[in-house]
Amino acid sequence: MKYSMQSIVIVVCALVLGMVGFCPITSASEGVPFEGGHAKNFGGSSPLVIPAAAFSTKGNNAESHNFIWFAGFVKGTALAGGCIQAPVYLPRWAQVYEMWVSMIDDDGSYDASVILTRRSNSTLGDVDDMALASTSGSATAVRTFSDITVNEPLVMLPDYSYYVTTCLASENLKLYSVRLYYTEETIFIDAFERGDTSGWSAVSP
Amino acid sequence: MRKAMVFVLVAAAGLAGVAPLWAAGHTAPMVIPAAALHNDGENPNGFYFDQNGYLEGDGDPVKMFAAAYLPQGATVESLTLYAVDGTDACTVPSVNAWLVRVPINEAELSQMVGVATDGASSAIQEPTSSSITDGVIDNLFYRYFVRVDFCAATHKVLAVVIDYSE
Repeated sequence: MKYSMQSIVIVVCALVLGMVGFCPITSASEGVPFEGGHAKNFGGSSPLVIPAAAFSTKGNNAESHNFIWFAGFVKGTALAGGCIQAPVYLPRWAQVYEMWVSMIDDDGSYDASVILTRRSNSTLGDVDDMALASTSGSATAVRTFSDITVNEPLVMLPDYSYYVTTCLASENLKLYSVRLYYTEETIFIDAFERGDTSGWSAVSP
Repeated sequence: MRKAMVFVLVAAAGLAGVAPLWAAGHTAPMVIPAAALHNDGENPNGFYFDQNGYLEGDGDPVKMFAAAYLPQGATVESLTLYAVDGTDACTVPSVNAWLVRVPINEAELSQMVGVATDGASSAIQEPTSSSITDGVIDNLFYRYFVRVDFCAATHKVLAVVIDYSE
């Protein structure tokens, strides 16, 4: 009986360590994700971190931004405009629930907005802004800005493309990274959880 | 000793239970949006990323590229281009897309699959091909990327989709 109790204690302690100690569910500097993320823990590799290095020029004014390679951020230049975009690679059927942005906004005249967008691959003009985080005020420090209300959060591939955009209107606007938090859920072949029964056979077995 | 082994095994079980191995963070198909494509440097202002999320040309041929981060061991099943080909009256008359691979330490590129729009139309075309050469991804020895060529302002590139199986 004594050994049984010891074994039970060992097993319980190990499970607790394995679940909590070795594998912290959240590591977000932004704080605690929404409750669904805890309960299901299908976080996959969330968050998706989009570094400044992923952004590229919009094309018509290629020198209106500058990637500071030794520091890893992108900033606007004196050639105002600075509109840039980056691809977003999210897993199919993921649910995006938060977008966080790290930026320096040390400009008293201009702010910057980072927009997460989805665009239909088969219908021109079918474009939805999913999340928008805007800077405000003026400070020399890196600050975080967020949008925790995501529109059209379900990632539908290959129907849609996903990307983020921003415009850095001056040298005092610097983008460090964009972070997207999402959950993944188990999807069955019949897609039952989505209410789509098209995966079922039309013929009864 | 036995207790220690049991402890480690059970802890591992707990770890596996919390972090399922299937939560890999990627799924097929890989949709490479227009926002991923960047210029080769020869014509850095020869394209425009429209606010509606597609690339268009400016009248001169332009070559755009994007990395293709595909999982090791995956098998490429098809390549599909989503694009509008509004005119044939340009030096590059169609919108073209290729998936290519290059050995890690060499410069000899090989085309795995290529597609192109066909004819001028204001509608979105979805040329696709499942004729893949060397379709099994080998990230140990090769690097992979897509190339997209287009030309006119009425050439609109929306996305390149790589479908694969694991």
